Amino acid sequence: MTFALGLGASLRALTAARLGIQTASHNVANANTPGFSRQRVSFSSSQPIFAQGFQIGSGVEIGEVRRIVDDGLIARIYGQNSLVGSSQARYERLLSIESLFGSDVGGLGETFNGFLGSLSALQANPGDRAFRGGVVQSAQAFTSGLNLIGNGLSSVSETTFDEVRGLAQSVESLAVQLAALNDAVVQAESSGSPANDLRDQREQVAREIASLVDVRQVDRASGALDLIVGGRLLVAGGRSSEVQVTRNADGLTELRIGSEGATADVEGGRIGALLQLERTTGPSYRSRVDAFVRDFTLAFDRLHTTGTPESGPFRTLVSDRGAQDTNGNGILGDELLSQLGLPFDIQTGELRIRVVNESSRDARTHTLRVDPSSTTLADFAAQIEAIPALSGSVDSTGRLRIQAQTGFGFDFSPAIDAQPDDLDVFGGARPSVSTGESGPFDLSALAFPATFTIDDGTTTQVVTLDNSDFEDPTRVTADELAAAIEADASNIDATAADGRVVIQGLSAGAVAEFTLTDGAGSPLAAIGFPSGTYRGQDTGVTVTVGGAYDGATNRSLRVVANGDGEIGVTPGLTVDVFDEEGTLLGTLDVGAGYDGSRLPLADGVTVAFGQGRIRATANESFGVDLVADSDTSDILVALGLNTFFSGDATASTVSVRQEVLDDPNLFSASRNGNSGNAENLLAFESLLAGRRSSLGDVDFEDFIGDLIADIGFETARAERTFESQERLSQDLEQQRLAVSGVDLDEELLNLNAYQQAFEAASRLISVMQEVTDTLINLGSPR
Amino acid sequence: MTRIPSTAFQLRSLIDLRRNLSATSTLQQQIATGRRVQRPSDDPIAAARILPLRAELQRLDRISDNAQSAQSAIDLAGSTVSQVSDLLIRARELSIQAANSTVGGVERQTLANEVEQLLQQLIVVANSENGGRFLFGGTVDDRPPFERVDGPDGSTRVLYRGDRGRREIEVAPGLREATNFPGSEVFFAHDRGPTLLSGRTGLATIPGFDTGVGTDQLEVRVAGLRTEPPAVGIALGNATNEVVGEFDYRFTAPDQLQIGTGPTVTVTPGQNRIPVNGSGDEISLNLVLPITPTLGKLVVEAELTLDGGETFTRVDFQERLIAVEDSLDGSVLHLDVSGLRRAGVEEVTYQGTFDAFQALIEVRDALRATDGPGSAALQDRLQELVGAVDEAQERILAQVQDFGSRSQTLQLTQNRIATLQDNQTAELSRLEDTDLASAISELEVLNINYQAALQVTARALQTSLFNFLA
Repeated sequence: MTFALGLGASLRALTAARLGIQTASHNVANANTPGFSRQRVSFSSSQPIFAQGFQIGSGVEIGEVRRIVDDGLIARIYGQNSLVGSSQARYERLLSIESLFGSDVGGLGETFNGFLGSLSALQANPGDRAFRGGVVQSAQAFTSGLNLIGNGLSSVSETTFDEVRGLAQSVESLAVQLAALNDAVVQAESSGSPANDLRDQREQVAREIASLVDVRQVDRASGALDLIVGGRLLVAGGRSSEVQVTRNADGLTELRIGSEGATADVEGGRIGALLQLERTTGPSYRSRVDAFVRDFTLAFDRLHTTGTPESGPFRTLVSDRGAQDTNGNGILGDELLSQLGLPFDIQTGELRIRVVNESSRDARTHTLRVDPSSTTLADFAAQIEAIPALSGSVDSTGRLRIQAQTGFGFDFSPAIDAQPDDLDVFGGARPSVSTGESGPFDLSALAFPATFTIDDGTTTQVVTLDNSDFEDPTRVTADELAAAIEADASNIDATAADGRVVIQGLSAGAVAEFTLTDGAGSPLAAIGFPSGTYRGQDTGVTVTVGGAYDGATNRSLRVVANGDGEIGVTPGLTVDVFDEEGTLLGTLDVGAGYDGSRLPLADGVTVAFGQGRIRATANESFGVDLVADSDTSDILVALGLNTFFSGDATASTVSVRQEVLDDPNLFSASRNGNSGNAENLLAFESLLAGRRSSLGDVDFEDFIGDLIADIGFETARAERTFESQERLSQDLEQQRLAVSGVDLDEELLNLNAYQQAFEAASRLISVMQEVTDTLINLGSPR
Repeated sequence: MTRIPSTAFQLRSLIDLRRNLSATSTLQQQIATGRRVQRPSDDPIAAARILPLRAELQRLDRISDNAQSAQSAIDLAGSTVSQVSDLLIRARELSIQAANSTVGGVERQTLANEVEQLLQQLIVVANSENGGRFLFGGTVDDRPPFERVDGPDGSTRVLYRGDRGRREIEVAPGLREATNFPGSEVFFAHDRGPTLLSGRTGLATIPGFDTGVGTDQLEVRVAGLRTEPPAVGIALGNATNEVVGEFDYRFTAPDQLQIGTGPTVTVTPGQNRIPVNGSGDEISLNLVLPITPTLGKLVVEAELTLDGGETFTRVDFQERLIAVEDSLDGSVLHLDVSGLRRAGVEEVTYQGTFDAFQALIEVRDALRATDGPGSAALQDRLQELVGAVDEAQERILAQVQDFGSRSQTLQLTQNRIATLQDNQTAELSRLEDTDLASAISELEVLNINYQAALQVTARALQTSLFNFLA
């Protein structure tokens, strides 16, 4: 044993104890530092010395100061941080979507029901301005609620971009920090000892990045930590990549990493959740709300456009929506109806316009064919222009303008014409005969010129039908035929009505008569006129149609005399009712015993006949149009003529049409123009209560209810997910602390131990010194 | 043994305390607002039930409002119509009073004026408004439904300008009730019977189609003579001629004439009265003999008026059935003229059509007609009219009763809706409201737990080796 050896061992013991004390105090000092891992000095006994045949211990060997960490746990914490970040972002975002639909349970549903309630309140007093105001106000409350939701849902995508951009900047700066720390760690560890505190700091930065985006970490042998985000290298050693946020062609936010700007498929972390919400959840709710608005406004306005306002028939009506110049030729209105760029499609169908004479209250209904694939808006305006007392034009903004002459008004009411026998053919006071069938007539078998005579008792006139009278003799229209007869015979009137040709005497009364006699070519049978003498009567049969049609489709019935005789007198006299296909719907008994009462015609519609003579042999009949929908083409809704709502059929733009807001009397509660008629309100009510196949076979109310409930479910699920992820994260942190956390008691005990070791080592040195002194003084005198 | 470093312990304690505090805050909010479900996500399952329940409650509220407004409209209609009953009672008294033989002409005029007052009141009542809308106009409720038309002859008609449209609102789930009342159904009679003629012109009525009400006078006048084929020398004579109709004539000799089935008589040039058909009726003819042809048809055409000569309907005997219109009120009378043989006046009675208006008008007219029937006839007429007033009264009372029972039904309906509302409200409350008793006791428990946790944590955190190694 050498003294030097003993001193050296003691010195190492002193150093070891001092190191231990320093490490313990470092641990105590950082007990509350986030991410700090406790450190330990590792000791081992040093290599023994072989002397004098013995292995002699040479004291302590100081190893290294190493932090205590569980690397697997750290990796799990990164992953968990991503999950917490994404579930939290998802929860927060859904909470804000949920609050769009109403901070309270209800919200949108409440305003919708308010609207229903105001419609119901109006039913009792359809003409009352205050209640009408209530309808308009509550509708506005409903549409502004929808706007709020629509705008809120679109701003979800706006805010996603802004928020992701902000978060991406954080990711980038954290990546820069991480890269710097990588450099520092590599440099520090090149000497061989672990860079404990730098690694702790680096982990902390990596954890923050993981809460924003999901990361995959790669530990390099050099001690560097590489991070991969969505398949792109975010940090490689001492280099970090740029992070950019862009919008793609669909307006969706994208995260790009690296100087080439490659998109990163981020799925986790806060950013991942926001991107996913922007792509799926937000649009799905938005499309559901938009589908609701589209279906609701279309169905509601189909009824509203064909209803009649309190203010009476329209004098001028300008469409709410204008045609767009979709073919780009600078001319508005020359596009086909299918290409006007309108939010709703125009269908092939019919539009009925009722023109009302304001003083006599006489109404005539005109039917316009609408074919969106061959009619332009300008053509359509010309069709309106052709209606007597109306003018139609396309104005400079592409809007359709309909105007009535002074003294006239118009609407689109499906009201039943109470006096359908306009020409007074059925039991008319004037003598008349009609063709048995409606045209077109096939006269190709006739040898032209063909003639027949009309004798009214005063003059006999010859009607000559020639090939040149008709465009196509196999398909002669009633109009052509009537015009040909009218041109040759001045002692009668020949007109075309409902596809039939009617010849009527010029004067009324029992003495008025005319006789039809076949001439060359015998054309009468080919046309469908029975030859013979037709007499008038002093008082014609009055026909009164009443009731309200409650059928679902538009129908065109024909009531035909079935036998000759006096209504109410002739035994067994009947009239037949045919539908548009010629199917017999029923036979009404108007013979002896009939007292002029109302007889059921079809679906809530009745007919009553006054007294007089009817003649089956003169083919007496009249047509009754039963209109369920006076606009089967949706052109009124599409253009915005007499609509209740305006906007682009989306939740963000829907509103009550400004004109109706200004004047609630424009709200169409009536279907026939009577101020006290509330049929349209009933129609609205049954519309709103009915299931909508276009909305998945639920009614509007349930659709909203389901929507809100779905958001509730999804938000609640997101909340539970967030809470459980957070709890998991807390548990992992607990576990990390259990491994790496600083236990003050432990450190204190260590401190105590090292202190005592230090004292012991110091004592050793002093013992050594005494021993040395003893040795030195051995030879010296006392 | 697991290491539990003090930092881990602190973190754990903090998390637990926070959780406790958040539960406390949730409970506190539930108690403060009284709502257990603040947002749909608080309890999505309950929320999915709450939304339809709320909608259903709102619907019941609407229906209940509807039932109330329907009831008030019906009550108003009922009380309005019962005013008519009072008017009719007074009219009945006046008729009976006037029927007393001691009542003189002047007094009768006074009574007539009072009846006129009653009629005016009746029209005001029938044109009653409800909230600015006419109650009895059907769906035409923006103008007075009953219009009074006074003819130039002092006659009065009351015409209905409304329609028969009924407006019904939902007053109970699946039940509808009208809030407007077509006045024609309330005030006019509906059980029209065959129209009666009381004269001897030979006219016959046809069942149905007639639109007049009460009674009317139909006057048949001789309009002119037509011969078939056209004969020369025959014209109507100067004497009053009552005979109308279609007759065969035959000259067996230039001065021997037979008309119809009557006897052959000798005629002279100029004025002649010739019996027709052996019924005792004679036709006055002015003849210029000889007459050609000697065989033919004599048609004495008639003209009919219902409006005292304002308009005439000519009967040429070519049509068997004719319609005569009263230009004053537009009512139409359908007649079979095949039996028409005599000119004269027919009292037309439209059976079963006595409504309040008509009853008052007829009473007034009977009282006014000072130069009309004598006092005995007047008494008979007034007795008859008392019957008419009673008929009208019966109708009105039936209406009042109808309104009364509808109102009662509505009251019952409202009670039923109120019960439904209570049930639904209770259900809604169970779903979304805070159960205060349990919430408060839960809060109490949480509070105690929290305090205990605080104390224990404080104690545990205080203990450290530092305290003992000084």
